[in-house]
Amino acid sequence: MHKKDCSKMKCQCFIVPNYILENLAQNEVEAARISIAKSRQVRRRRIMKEYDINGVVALTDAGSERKGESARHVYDCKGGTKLRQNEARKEGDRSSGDSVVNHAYDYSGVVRDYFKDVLHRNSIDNEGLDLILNVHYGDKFTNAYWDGDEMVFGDGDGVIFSNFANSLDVIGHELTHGVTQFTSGLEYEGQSGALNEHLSDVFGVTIKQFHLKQSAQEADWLIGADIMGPTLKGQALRSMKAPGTAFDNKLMGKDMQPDHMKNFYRGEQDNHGVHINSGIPNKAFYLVSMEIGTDKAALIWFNAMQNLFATANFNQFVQIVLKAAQKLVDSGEVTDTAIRTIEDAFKAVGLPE
Amino acid sequence: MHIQFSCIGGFANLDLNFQIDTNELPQEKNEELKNLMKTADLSNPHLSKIVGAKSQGADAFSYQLDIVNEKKKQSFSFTDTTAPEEVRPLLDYLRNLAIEIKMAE
Repeated sequence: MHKKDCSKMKCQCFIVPNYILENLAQNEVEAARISIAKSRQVRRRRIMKEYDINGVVALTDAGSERKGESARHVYDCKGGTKLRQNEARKEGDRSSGDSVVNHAYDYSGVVRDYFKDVLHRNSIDNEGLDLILNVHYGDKFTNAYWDGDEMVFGDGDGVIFSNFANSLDVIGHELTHGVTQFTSGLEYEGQSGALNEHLSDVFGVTIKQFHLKQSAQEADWLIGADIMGPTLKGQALRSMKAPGTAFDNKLMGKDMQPDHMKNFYRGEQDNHGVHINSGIPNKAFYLVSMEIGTDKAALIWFNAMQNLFATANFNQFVQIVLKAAQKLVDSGEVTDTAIRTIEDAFKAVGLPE
Repeated sequence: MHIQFSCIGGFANLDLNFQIDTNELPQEKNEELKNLMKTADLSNPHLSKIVGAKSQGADAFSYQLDIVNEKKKQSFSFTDTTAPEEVRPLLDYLRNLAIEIKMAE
């Protein structure tokens, strides 16, 4: 039996490690079974956290078989670092007096509804898991992250970065990490980690375009442009159109993202370049979207996402995307020219190797 | 006391680091840092077990903190998801100090 450290905070005992299960999950039945198992794990972990936070046993039946309603819960950390402290707005509540709380609530609704209405996925786990968002986390916290159960957003310092919750593509990005966790469970390291980041960028930008009713040609293809503070105004964190050109400043240095395999980052930093090498598939997605439209490209990528496995690399990703596209061509959901478009786009970034 | 600190990664993939002799800090900052270190309870042996703990999720910062004084050297590794509650205010402080130092360079 594989057993992780069972502290009070994070008790996780798995008979078989998750990544092995995920690698085995290459048929739909097995994938569905594993997704349900993961859903139960997260619900149990949330109960454990509830116990830890409030000192009482949560009486909800979040660990049961019952499907959820993907309700939003926005918590205000008030500059502290404890999660789920003060519920500022929950599903159906009126607007809060706090614009950051309202942005988190509204944008997470846009993302949830996109996954449900357009891609027919019921929340992060496809079982209606509630969405938990913690805002005003920490002291000038210059980050947003998905902690495996819920989302956390800092206020930024107001000079270099503004509030991370005020951006639709940031919320779309973080929520998609949850979806990835429940589908392929891509390991957050090396090429699989870069694919994990890539998928989050893809749906962050796609949902923003969908919300703004922009075409691929009209969009800016930037990630994080809305959270750059006054000092870095006009810059962004990543450009899917032109990786490596999003920023050049004193704090962050120069954007290191490559747009071709010949410039693949091989260093140790950033879990072996998860936010760096994502530029390569990001560019391919941009090229495909410009030809067939972002909505069709995202549909193909979403179908591919569900057939990926935890240790998938870039070459395997290309094959899985092509296979997903062929299925959609066969069902008449995308035109047959999409296959050639995808092959050309990946070829333009040096894939497959 | 000598402190070496780094904060790497996150959504913005930042690379922040500095090393400093705490005596070089203005007295007010030095006092605040000492208080935060006290609250963090860095002598707790539990903290050393966190080194190498697998971080959950995605986009968390990775922190490395080395402290050297005349008696000993201590090394800690945390992420946003593995850092204990009592250590987080210290990491906030050090990260903001790292940004301040980098912007002043």
